[in-house]
Amino acid sequence: MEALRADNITKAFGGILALAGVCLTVASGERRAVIGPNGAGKSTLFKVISGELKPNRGRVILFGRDVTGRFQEHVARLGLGRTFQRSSIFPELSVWENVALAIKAAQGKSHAFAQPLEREQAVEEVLDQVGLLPRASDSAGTLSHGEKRQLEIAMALAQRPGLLLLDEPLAGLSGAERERIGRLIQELDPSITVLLVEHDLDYALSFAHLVSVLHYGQVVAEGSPEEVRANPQVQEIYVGTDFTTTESVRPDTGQTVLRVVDLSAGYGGMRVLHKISLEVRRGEVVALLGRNGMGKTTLLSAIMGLIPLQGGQIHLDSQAIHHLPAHRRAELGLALVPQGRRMFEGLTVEDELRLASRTNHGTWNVERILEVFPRLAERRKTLSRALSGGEQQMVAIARALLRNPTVVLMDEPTEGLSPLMVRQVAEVVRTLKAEGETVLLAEQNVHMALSVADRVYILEHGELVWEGRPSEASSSVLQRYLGV
Amino acid sequence: MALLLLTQLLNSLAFGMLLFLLALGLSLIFGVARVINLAHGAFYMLGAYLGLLISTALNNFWLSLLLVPLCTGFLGVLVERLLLKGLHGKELEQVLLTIGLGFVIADLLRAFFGASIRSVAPPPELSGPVFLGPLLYPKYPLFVLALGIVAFTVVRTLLVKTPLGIKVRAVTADPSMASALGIPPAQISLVTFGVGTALAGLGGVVGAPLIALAPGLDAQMTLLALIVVVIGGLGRIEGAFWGALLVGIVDGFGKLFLPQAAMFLIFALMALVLAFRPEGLLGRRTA
Amino acid sequence: MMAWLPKWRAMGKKDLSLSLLRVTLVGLFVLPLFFQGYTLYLATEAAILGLAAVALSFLLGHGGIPSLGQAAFLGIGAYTLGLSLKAGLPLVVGVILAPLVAGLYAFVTGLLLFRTHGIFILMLTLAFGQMVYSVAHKWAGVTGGDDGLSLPADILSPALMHLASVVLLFSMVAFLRFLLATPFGKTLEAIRQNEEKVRSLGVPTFHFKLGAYVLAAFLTGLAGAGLALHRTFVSPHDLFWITSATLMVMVLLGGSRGLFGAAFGALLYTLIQAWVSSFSELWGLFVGLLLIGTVLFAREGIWPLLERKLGGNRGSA
Repeated sequence: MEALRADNITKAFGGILALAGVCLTVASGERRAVIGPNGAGKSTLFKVISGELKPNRGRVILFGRDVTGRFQEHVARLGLGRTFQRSSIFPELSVWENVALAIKAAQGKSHAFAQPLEREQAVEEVLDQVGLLPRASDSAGTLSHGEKRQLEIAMALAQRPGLLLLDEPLAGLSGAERERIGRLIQELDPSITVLLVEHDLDYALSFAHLVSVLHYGQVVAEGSPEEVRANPQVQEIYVGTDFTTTESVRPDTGQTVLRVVDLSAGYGGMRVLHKISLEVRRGEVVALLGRNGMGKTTLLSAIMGLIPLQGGQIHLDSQAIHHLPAHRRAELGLALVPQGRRMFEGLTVEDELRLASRTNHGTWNVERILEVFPRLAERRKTLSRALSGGEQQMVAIARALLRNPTVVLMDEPTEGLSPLMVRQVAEVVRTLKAEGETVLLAEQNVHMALSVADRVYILEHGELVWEGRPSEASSSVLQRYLGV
Repeated sequence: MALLLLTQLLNSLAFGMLLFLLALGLSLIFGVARVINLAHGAFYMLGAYLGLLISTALNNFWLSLLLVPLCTGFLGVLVERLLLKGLHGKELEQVLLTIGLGFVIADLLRAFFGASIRSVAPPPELSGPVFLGPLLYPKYPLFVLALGIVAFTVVRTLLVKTPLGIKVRAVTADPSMASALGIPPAQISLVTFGVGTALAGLGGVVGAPLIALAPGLDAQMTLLALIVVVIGGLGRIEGAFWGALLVGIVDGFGKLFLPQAAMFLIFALMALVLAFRPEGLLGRRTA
Repeated sequence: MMAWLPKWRAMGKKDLSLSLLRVTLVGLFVLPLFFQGYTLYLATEAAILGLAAVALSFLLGHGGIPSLGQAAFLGIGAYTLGLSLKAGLPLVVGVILAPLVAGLYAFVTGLLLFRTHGIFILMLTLAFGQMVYSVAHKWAGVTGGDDGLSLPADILSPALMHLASVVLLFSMVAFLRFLLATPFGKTLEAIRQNEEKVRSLGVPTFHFKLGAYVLAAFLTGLAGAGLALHRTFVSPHDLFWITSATLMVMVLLGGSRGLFGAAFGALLYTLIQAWVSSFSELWGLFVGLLLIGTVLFAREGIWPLLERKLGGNRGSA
């Protein structure tokens, strides 16, 4: 029988359509990978399936039962196990207590009061299976990131699920830990149906029987891993449509305005970036490429000061800024066009622009912005949140420009935009380049980035793996690091 | 009967405006500095007693109207900087600390001014009645009513039109993005906290002729401010305004028609809003 | 329970010091039996409020539910006992009714309460508590309003009252500790640490939170009944949110994760209040400063500080 059937799932958040009629059928015992670029809807899909979110339309059928809109706990009791993107365990309980609790939860309420929680054989078995037996008595909060993943998988297995949802299980892991978890997942009982979301495409494709590709909230391709790899449409989604690559004729004698040395950063216990070193020279457009989940946003956030460094240094115009809070870095000449635009609620377009502008000896002011972006002039009294995605992106870029910055950090400006808007953003970046602005651009849309960049860095698993000019980026390089 | 209703209406609106002054400060403090200030009523009481002191010493109500908010505002800034600085994001700790602070302020006031009930007369310019058509109504509550409306207009204009106001709204909406645009969120929080406690102090000076001063006033006023802010929406000044009017009217007319149940109704309203619309009747979801 | 006996033998030096500390606490509570008058009165008050503080500690420290409305249950228990005595019912009936009525109120309000989270729970419990206060205050026909309710004195001798309170206090501590070791208790702790995860394991967390809330209310209602008997007087003022805040202070002093700590906190608070009141009107000032100081410098509470100094790292319930 079918383990899971998602029938035309639609989910909208405010004005944004996260899932636009997703149809998915997973057979019992199957291993399915769901891939797709950032914003495609993968997390939302998982949340709808597990019951964390209620879809606006459509049905979720788990082992033949309609579970649409039921509470999480109910869906879990019907055979669904799940791991979370950020390790989700009980830090104050010991490792074995975590697992024992999961087992008790699966058994139901009848034993809730009788005895103290015991470390029974079933607990030992599961811990052995995931390789955590030596650490059974330790407090779960003391586990390493990879070990927490193992514990999560243990807890999911303890539920004896029929369907297991694995949400980016390899995220934030590297080296031996990555291999260990990878193997653990490969060696799962074949009778368990697994639905996997992973940014590590090599792993996902080697693991899965079938692959579904999600884009703009819909399944756009489905098939065996080989079929998906060979599908040109899928390649396009990840690598982008062909832009004319204009070779930059700028001599590279510009002085370095931004230097990053051995930067490491992450979230909580997770280390996402490992000793990144790069530099940006005046007047350059430098592109930062990499598949999603590789650390591009983390890097820009760390440079801006929105997340703390775990090591390394940052120099702006030869001044060390890595000890400074974000607003000080902004004062010194950094500006950010953030991922997701981040418009301020309750502010109009004009408010946003006035907020950002500062009167120093720069060329950008509100009047000039309104000339360059006539659409914004028309909409100046509109609430910024009410604008379309593309218009919001213009506001976000305008905000950064109004700071008259030394360096503009752009984080995935084309995310979630229509192909037309993507071209427009590319135009804007080219205009900025012509004006002499310095830009560090993180992008998932490879060809768009290559069409505007002077130099390119490629990030993979939090490390820089390639550096060079766009013309040097051969198709094999692109395929290897960025394609499917 | 109509006159009675009209009188009660004006009383309720005046009381509502007093609540607004109080709730405005609390709402700003929560929205921007993200602090639950359960000492807010204590700042009100401090303002009231300081107003009493200055009025009797200098015989000038209007001067106290100016000086007292400055004092309580300054004290607020000190509190935020010295005591609350490290508690960012720790709500329970903030609650407990501000409760403790409230105890301290209230007790010091009791020590200094004694436990007897003090009533404060309105200034001579504002005492006495005025004719509103057939109705004879005291001047002072009308002054409070007008002051509340003026305060609402002024604060609203400041928030919407001035650069500082836009910064405050940005920090309320998304503090980390605001800092990426060069706005120092800590400083904005500090200023807002000071403005919030200044408003509480202003409320105290203005409210003294309406509500007698006695121990326990701080706890009562904190509670009322909290109710208004919850009903109107945390961090929304329009919410504080309309919420305050609503509470004022429910309280005023409740006392008239259902004296036993008035208090109960207000708390029940608060509970219902919290349970079904925690963002307040007007507010949007916070966090 | 029997599984614990071997543990006593296997205890190391650290655990022994810990137990010694706890035994000392129990002793401190028992000692006043050898005194009379005011000291005994005060100690009984501490023991009774201790029960309410322990219940809150269980709710907050283990269930993760911040309640600023516990005074309501205290008051409901007190008024239920007072009114049932007034109605001529035997003492036992009143003592049984008090926690039941408190538990009922907790159940009904809990249904609404657990639709929200975090800070809203704090404020909602405050609102629910004040609703009870306003009823007690205004429904003068039944509750005596501002004048309060008087109970006949000397139903139980002071010594007996004290003994009963202390025994109840520590037996409830033992019971709650046992409960916390069961799957129910562990699940509650897990909910506090990561509710989302617990739900994804198939557990209806709503029921657990409601259960913990009702249990805490039950115990607090019982304490309220004790309070009424002890003071022979119930006043609406006892129900004002300040009393809920006071219970919070006791829990904080004791360290929000510790049940023994909460009992200690109650004792400490009662002593400080009595001591300061004897030479000054400003006990509120002292409590306020104590609260501020504890939040800033001894966030974990004073009891865990002692536990750690004497018992190593195993400070817990």
